Amino acid sequence: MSINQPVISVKGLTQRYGNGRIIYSDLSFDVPKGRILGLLGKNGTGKTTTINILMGYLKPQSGSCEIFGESVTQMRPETRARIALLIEGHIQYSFMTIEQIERFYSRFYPKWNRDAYYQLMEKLHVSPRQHISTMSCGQRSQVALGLILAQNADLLVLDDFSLGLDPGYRRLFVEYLHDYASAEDKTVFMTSHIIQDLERLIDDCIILDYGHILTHRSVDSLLHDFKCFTLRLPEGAACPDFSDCSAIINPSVVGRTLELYTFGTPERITSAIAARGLPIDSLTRKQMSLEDAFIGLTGKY
Amino acid sequence: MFRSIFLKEWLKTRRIFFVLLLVMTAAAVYTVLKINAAVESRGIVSLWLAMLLKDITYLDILLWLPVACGISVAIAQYVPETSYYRLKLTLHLPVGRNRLIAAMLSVGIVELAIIFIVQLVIVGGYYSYIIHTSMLQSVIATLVPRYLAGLAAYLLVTAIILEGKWNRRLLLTFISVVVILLYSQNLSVMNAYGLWMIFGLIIFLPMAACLVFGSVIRFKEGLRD
Repeated sequence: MSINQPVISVKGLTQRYGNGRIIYSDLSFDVPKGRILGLLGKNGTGKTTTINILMGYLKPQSGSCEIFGESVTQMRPETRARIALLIEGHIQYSFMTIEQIERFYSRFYPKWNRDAYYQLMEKLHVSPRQHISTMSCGQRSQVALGLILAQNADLLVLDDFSLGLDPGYRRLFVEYLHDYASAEDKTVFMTSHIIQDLERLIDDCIILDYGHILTHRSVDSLLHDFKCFTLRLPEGAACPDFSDCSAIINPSVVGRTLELYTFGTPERITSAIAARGLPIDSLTRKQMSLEDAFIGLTGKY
Repeated sequence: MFRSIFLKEWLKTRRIFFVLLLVMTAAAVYTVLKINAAVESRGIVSLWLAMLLKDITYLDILLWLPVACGISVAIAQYVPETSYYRLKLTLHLPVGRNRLIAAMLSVGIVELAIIFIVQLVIVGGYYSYIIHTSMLQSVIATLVPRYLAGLAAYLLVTAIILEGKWNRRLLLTFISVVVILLYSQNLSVMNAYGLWMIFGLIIFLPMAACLVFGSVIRFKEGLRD
């Protein structure tokens, strides 16, 4: 693998549900080394499907996926050892104890860091002989995180790490992961349905809609280039029709407030509004979080 | 690495292993006591005649147990793997897929072999004291196909559990029922065709193992309902 080669490379991926409905078609993206990428999308847009394909648990209908330059369908065990995987719901071998599971995994990974695991376990105040099956979802998430950190893999693939976690555990997970990934120059590919958590963590994002990618860029660039404008509508005015203005995305009215999203310039928005005979004096640009940008791009419904 | 795999499989199956070992040993001891009681009440000659002329071996209680053992170990070992798709974790381990599955299967097979050998030693050992070698062969020819059927049941139920498609599961269940019924014939049939049945099952066992590998490959490809 050359230095500039992406860690993950997806080309022309097409996948359908069993009933033939398309999940996405011709999906292509790269994840460069050292970046933390979040795959965002509403339910059913194919986030977990993408992870299943990347990990070789699903054969795509067409397209190819490579990790560290190797096809995911024929990955060597040595390459798999460089990838840490978190399955949705922090699933682990619940019949094992905290101690047994560490011993189990340690024999598979040459760079295993036992201390990283036990440092995190100390925070849980649980006995090393406690079975994972008797732990809460939050505690199990920390066991799964500890195992990932101890594996010391080059690539971390995390499927919906926030599922079932309360805010405290989500914050703990994000902070640990952020410190670890940035200090060790790790590449991370992750999904989450709680987007506000990801804003603190990810460098780049891919926002999926039903069937295609809406945008793939850095979070900084998205929050800089993607804008939300609000405008107070006159009494009784309906939502204007912006269908002929491709720069305006998902216009909606809440009460008497019109919300517009755009990658265009403020001047373009001003002229589009003025062209529809609306007063522009109340037009203001709203500060957006990543979650706001996500809603703006994908729509509320 | 393989020590870790063996440990994982042992953690899943150790309880059922000890329970089955106890049950199979108890069944063997019960059989021995039953034969002993028959010898004491009617004499050894009566026992020989019953075995030679009526194909009575007093082994009835032992005949279904090996299949039950095979099914129990398969359930204990592989249901935890398929619940919540935990098999994904296992298949993500940095070990070749076939070697990994072979290691997992070997744990179940070794556990069953230990249980069966303990039972065979108890029953066969007692019979060797009271009957002629040629008659002992008949006892072994009765029991060994049942033990092999237990191993086949283990492999077939494993393939059913790991299979993700219901139509394939039904097909595998049909094959399992046919094999188990074939090896549950009455004792006269078993005595007549015992060696052939052993030979047939020895051929069938690797094929049943291939069905397990097939189910895992299909799981890997996402072929699940």
